[in-house]
Amino acid sequence: MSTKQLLSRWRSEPSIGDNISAWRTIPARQARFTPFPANMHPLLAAALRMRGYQALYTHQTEAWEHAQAGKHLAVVTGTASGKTMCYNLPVLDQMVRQSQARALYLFPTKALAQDQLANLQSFQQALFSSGLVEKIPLAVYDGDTPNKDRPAIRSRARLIISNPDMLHTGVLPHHTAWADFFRNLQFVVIDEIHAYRGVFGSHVANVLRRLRRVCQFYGTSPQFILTSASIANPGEHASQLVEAPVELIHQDGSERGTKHFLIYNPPIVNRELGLRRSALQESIRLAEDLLTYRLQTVIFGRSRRTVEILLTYLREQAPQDQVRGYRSGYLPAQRRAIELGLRDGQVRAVVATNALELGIDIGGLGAALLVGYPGTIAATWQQAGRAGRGQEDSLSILVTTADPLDQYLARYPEYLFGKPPEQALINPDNMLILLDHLRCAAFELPFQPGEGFGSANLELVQEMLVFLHEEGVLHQTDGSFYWMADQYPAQNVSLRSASANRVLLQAMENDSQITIGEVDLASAHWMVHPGAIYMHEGQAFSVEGLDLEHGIANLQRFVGDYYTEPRRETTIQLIEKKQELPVKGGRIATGDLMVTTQLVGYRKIRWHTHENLGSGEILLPPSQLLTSGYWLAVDTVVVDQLTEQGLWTNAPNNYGPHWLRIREQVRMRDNYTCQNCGARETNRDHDVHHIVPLRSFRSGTGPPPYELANRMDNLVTLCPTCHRRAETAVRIRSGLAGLAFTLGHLAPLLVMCDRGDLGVHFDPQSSLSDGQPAVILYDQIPAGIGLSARLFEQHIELMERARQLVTSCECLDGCPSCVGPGGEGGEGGKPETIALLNHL
Amino acid sequence: MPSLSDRLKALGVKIGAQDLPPLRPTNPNTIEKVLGGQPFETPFGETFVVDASYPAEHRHGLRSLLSSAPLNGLAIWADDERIREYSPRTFAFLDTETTGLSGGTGTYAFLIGAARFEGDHFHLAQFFMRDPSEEPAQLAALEQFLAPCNALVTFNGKAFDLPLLRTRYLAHGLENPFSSQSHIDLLHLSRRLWRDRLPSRTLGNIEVQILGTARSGDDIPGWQIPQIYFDYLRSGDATQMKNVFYHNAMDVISLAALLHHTSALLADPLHEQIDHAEDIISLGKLFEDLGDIEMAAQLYLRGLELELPEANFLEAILRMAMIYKRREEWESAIELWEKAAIRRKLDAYIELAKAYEHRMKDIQSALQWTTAAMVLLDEGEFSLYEKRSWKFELEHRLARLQSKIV
Repeated sequence: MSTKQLLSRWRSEPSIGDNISAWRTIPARQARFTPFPANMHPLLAAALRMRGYQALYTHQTEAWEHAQAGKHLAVVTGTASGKTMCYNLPVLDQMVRQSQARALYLFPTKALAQDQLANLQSFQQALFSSGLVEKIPLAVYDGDTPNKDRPAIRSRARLIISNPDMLHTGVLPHHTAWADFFRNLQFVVIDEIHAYRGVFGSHVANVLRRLRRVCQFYGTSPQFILTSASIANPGEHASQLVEAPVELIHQDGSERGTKHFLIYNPPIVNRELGLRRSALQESIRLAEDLLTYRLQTVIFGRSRRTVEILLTYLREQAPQDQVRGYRSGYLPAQRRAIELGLRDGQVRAVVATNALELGIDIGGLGAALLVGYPGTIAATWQQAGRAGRGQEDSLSILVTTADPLDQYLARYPEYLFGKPPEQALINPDNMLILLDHLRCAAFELPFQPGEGFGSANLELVQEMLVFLHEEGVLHQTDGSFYWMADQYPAQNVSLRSASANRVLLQAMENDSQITIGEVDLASAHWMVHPGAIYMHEGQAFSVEGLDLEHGIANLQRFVGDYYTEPRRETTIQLIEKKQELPVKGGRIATGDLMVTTQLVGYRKIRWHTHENLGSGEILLPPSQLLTSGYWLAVDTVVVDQLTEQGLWTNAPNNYGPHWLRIREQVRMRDNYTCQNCGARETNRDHDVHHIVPLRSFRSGTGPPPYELANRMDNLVTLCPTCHRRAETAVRIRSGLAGLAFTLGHLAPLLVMCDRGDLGVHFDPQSSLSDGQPAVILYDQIPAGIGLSARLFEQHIELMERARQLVTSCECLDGCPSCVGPGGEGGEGGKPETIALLNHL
Repeated sequence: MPSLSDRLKALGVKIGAQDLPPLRPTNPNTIEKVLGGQPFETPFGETFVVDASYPAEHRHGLRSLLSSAPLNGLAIWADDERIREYSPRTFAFLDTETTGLSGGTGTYAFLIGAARFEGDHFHLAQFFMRDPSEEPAQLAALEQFLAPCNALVTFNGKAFDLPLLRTRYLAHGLENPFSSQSHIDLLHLSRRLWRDRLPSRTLGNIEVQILGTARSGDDIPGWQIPQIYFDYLRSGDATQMKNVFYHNAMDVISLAALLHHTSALLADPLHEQIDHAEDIISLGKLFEDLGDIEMAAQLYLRGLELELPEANFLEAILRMAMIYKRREEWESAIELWEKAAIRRKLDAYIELAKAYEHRMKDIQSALQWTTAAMVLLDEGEFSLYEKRSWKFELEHRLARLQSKIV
């Protein structure tokens, strides 16, 4: 078989085989079947047989049984395990039995929605062909549905396929136009619930609260059937979304061929700087091999640019129509063409940025190649899951980039293969988000006296309603609250940002300025500062201008090979400490914080290799963020121990050829007196200390570091005691910086979020910890979303991972993959970080 | 513990941005004082109604409130045969004032003006929601009032007022009383009749331009209305509500007069006094679309006798010429096309070429017109797309004509 031949070739070729850091073979699995349930409607069973099914997988039967018992359920089996049937069967069965029953399906992407529609329609053909049951009107109802079709769909469709955004602005605020639908709504199916996390998930949870509220008005209480990719807390997450107990179905009964999973880590090419060969280039090599061995492959890149580069290179080897790009904006017709091409073998490779974009009908390819870790383990398996057809062998390869998380997984692949550590977190009671949805809910139905909202704190809800009354948006009569404003609140609530203060992102598209997205005002400073590179749906844009007063950022499509990282100066003020615990080496705490951020510049970092390409200036006023955070305060005892141990191995510093003479000059200038405590030299020379450490001057171009570091104004005479203390301070700072960098990059492993959702800060003398050194992690969302709170609970695990990552990194003294690039800003200090971690 | 306001402010929520009247539950200027009117009992509690009565013959500008015109034309236009059988005495006129334009379940019709004929009188009833908790009573009172009426007359009711009212009834779990009645939406008719001449077809503008009457200083622009209601709810001061009631009352009354006017125009267009020739042509187009070609022709011909702006003139000529063509009255058609051709209308050239070739059997003239058309196409202001498609057609025609001569 081609797969085996390719694998043995790769294994034996050193330039590839040596870089394979993990190789797992997941054994094939037989399917476990059960016969059709006895209480399934005979027409449905007949339809199933007509479509070639003779039995159900065990998990499909399990789902059926729970659905029959009227329970809410969440199905967490793997990709291509037949999750769709877990909800389609109970729903269609009910539709056949009750002529008025209705169902609502929510999908996160249009591609999925369209594919489900097609799937249901063909299923229906089988049902309908018996002539014994009426056709069930199905329809997709979303932003693309033509206006003229909408009235008919509202009144006649029994199964509506939509998405949370449409539900939020287009359905719930007009629920009277859906009266019949809500009166008969029996099922709500929500697919891919792990996608509803963070700010977006918190909004969706509130949209579901509104949905349940409207259903209650019409006298129904629908059953929820959810699906999720494998995460650490599927049951908890599902229950939070639905605000009710949810049965979890996770024993996968579907068959699976042997899966080969490889992690390929490009080799180091510059040990000092810790740089590796480009993951993109390596991926192209591997992809060429896959094509040569005639394995149908899907390749996932993190950005459109990566996709474009891959397509360009691969098309040098194979004709255009055999290597196809795949984008979320494609029309159904285009997607059908590519799917057909894959099925008949004409298309040999598909390149995309996201597994969800592919809908459901592209599956069963020979191989999946992931260029870079997709950001979550769930997404990794979803993408890898595209390889594998029935019982055949499949091959998935993850090519890791220099990103710390990628490198962590390359060295500790058990995180990919074991129980997933990452949790989907939401905070539906975030004050800003809750307030927004109370507005929307009041618009939909007046609040009765004493009425609450989902499981949100009743007192808080009532307080907020009164607040809205005082603001002139609601009118209160005898304890009831009515919406009384000339506004349509749902319009101003974006499900993807936390507050109404938003900055619109505008770009030129076909000669007209269109809005491509928006960001919170709080985030706008660092996400879309002038000069920033902003990623939107995989496409890179450069920010040409930012108008904070009017809330508009001007973007332009960007074709370049770097992204930007802002440099900030942050001050953090404690507002209220909520919890505190002692831990090894110090104390940890959570609470409310006021974070004032001043951007001072940004770095340009090359994709895939994480090289520092240069920097730029930012001139923006400071921004303030009130949020929740968690911090680690290092005990003074530890600091003292570190000082005494003098453990810091003095990495041989190249002080340059004139060092002895310079030392003499400095001591003379300073009158042989310690500039800190005033002690005069006695029988031993004082030390000469670099104020800004030598390491900070490592830049790579220009004069050698020691020349800049050895300038007279950077040198000061200190007695040995004061010198040691000064050095410690520098090293503590260095260790803290490295720790902060590492924690910030590793945290997404435990709580599903983007790197930018968490802010990281360190302070050798933090006011949050009575002057002790501290590392602080906070949610980058006003009022917090639960990320730092969860990390507080996972503190021990987080420290352990950090230690693992830093100690096992192959770089000399810090690199972008562990404690951060050395150089300006004094970040990174590998030995210092390790020493610190050993005490924590 | 900071207050909710303070906490929200710290999170970036803008507080107290607009000037709101202070909350004062008791204010001497109650609605009853300012407007008269009475409470009205319903099974859902009490609501508030302001009644007014006018003689049926009362004129609002050009027309009286009670229409004397037969309804056959209107029935055809509305595509509702039932209307033909009704008497205008059984119509109801309806207009709402709402808390916003966005539709959706958070928009209320706080003031509903409705009118019907009672014997010799035109009874205008304005149903007002003094507080949102009164809404079910308001809706019940409205339903009761409209029960004996056969048809509803509104202005933009199809797209706005009726869907909104439907939402209000459903929001209280009440049956929608508007599902099956006849509904005449005068906005649509007004568009057909006056789109070519009036830049704005709002009811207010039509009232001035067509009905020839103006409102008093008590009127206010529609966009101010929602805020006046909100202020009244907060402060209890109903002084400004007087203007809202006036605005609404005038809207309803205008509806009655406008119904009279439009049904008269549709019933007997040739004998109605129409001051603007464009309106005659518009009427012609309307009749043509409704299938009454005979009437359309008469209207076009009459309009063409008068002073018409260029665009309307050309349109009238071409339409009338098409009618002649269908009737096979070729000389008359040609005469009209030649008039249009003088004005450099390309379509006319083509029609002339066709007519001369196939009907008059005059190839020479056909050739002349075709060639002239090609010249016009080159010289005239046409889009690239038009040029390309016409050119193809003309060259084809030219070739064919030239072969016939040979």
